[in-house]
Amino acid sequence: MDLTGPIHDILVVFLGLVLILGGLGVVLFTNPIYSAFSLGLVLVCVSLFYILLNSYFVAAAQLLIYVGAINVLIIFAVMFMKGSEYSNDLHLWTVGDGVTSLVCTSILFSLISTISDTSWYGIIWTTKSNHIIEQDLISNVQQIGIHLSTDFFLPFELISIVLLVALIGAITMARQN
Amino acid sequence: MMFEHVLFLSAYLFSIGIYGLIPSRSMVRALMCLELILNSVNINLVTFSNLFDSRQLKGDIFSIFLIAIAAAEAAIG
Repeated sequence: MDLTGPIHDILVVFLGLVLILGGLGVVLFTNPIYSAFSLGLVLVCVSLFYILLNSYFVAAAQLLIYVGAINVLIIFAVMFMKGSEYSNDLHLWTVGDGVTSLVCTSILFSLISTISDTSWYGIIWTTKSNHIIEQDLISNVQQIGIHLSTDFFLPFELISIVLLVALIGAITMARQN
Repeated sequence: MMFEHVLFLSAYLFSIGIYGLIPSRSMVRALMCLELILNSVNINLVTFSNLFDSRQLKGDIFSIFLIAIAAAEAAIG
């Protein structure tokens, strides 16, 4: 969305704060139902980020599929779990947790240093210079549809086969019980 | 557009997803952290598609494929 500067920055900062707190909540809540709901909050904020990044179709797909299907499925799975199953999952600080947090903070800081070391504006300049400026005759959703039906046709059909195989596998696994 | 901040956010989501994924014993918690990791990948794809390739939109199509893969994986798990 092409907003003016301060409103855009305020939105980015607000959504980033909600994302950081929600991501911490997903990992650190001991009750899984709370972490499932905070996962839903994170997914909604990610879809608002997609709206800020001008890709409305992906934002709608994220809202429909992630929040509407996957998160509801996870909440159902949490509600079908027995109460004893997550009460013994108390968070004790062991050696493995320390090693894991060390590894993850090292990954985070190496990624951040790599991102800030890369000269993005040179890359943007070289890609923009050989870019032919055309008129936006058709919208983004129409372009996505055209790509899906012409040069991404084979992956699209493969995705449908993968979904079919997943459904049949889930049904057979559920019938064996 | 300060897109580096968006990249920082996606790196944060990735690392916190790995932090939740490695020591988790229950299946549902591992699934939730896996969704966080896939979302960070999606944020990166959409950001670079918006930045470098605003005409072709191939990153958007790849992110849609990733969303479909994540749906299949959550249906099995």
